[in-house]
Amino acid sequence: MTSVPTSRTRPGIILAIGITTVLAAALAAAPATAAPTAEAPTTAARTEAHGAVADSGAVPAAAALPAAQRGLDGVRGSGTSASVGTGKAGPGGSRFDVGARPVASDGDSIGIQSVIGTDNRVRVDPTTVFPSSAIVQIVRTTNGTTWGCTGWLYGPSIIATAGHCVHPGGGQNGGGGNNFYPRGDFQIIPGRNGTSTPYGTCTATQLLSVNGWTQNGDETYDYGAIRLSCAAGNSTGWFGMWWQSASLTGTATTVSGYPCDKTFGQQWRHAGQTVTATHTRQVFYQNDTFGCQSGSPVYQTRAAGSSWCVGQCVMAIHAYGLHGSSPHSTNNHGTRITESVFNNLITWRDS
Amino acid sequence: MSRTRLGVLALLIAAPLLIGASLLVFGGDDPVSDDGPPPPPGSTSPAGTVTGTVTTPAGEPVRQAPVQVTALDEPAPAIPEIGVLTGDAGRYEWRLPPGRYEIVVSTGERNSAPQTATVTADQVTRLDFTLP
Repeated sequence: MTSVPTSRTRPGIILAIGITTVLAAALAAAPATAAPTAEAPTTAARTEAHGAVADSGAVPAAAALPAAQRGLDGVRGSGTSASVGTGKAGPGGSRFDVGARPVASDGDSIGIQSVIGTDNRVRVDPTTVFPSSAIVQIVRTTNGTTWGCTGWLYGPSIIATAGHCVHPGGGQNGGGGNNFYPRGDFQIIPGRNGTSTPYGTCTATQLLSVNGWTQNGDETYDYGAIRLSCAAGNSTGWFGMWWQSASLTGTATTVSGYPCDKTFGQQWRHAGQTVTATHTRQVFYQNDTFGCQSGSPVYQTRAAGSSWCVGQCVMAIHAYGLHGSSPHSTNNHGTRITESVFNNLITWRDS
Repeated sequence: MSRTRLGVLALLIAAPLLIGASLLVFGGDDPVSDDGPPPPPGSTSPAGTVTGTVTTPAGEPVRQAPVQVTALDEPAPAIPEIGVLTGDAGRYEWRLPPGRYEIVVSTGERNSAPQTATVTADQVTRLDFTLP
């Protein structure tokens, strides 16, 4: 004879299971957030982070600071120095991009979602000056349609970009390996300037992202990378990057990429803005962007002697225009370089 | 408390827990690649497709024409700033969350009339454009 809970005890059992599960989940979640350094790629990547700093030929003073000040505890760090980073100006490159010219008078795109107010983007021409040279146009052609994105070199043969540029996200199938987009459909064009491709065209040898995007479609995990068939970074230079647990609000931002509302293949940039809001995994700003600028670097120039990253240093990967509610509805935004994002990017680059 | 209310309460507790548990088991920052081990199964986000061709009045395909979408629903869903352009045969394809959108094709010199598309999950909506 089967024992069936009575109608009075059955809801109690369900409630008890629910409460137990809540407590179990809370206990399980605690170490995951309080000890980010326990994540698998962290140790190796952190070591490599300082190796990468040494690669630049100029080791910032930050490298000599004790571990606690390097932001090893991403939760406790509340000061401004809780950060780790690398930075490298390209071979022969300048730490300042002088290649911009004012936008044409007919270039206004007022009212378009991610152009906030007046369009303040300026065309970058030429694009052979670092860091413009290290910004790439990503072109994917699948089944007779073309998709455009932007990326940025952070090593000789690898670019960072938005996750949705390599995978449709949310468990959807992009048609390639492991449901990524087909690798063979990609063209990566460093420093493209209209029809000019001063560093040639590269193809993709590996597409990378994280579960939070590919399986869950979570916009706060929307980042990825593309390993390249070429070593263009040796000619173009590459960006540094850093993370900090302290808020980024108020720090200077520049966003530069290959928007699709302009002549195809032209690079456009909006400098002179600041971070307006900082979330745990996202950064919000007023820099104007447009479709095809996903994956653009959100960066700033950090003077010699700055902590953690010197030169052209990325703090976030642009991914979204205005949507939803504030601050998403009032600011363009991108995936923040957190410690975990930083470690993944470095691990991908150095593996 | 009625059984129904308790059942709803249990469901409200369990649903976010299942999502949270999946994030714990499969960390959001766990890396995946197009040639590595298969990722764990995830819940598929609903999306639909809008596709069509862009031609001139003479029927010639328009190549490399940006196809721009604007969400008409409030609050607007998150549309990544990926860009879609027509291919050699004038074909385009947008994958979008369910909802209503205004779609325009603009080459800078020529603009199509805006059209409205209602996107339904797992459905394909056909929308062709003619540029003047």
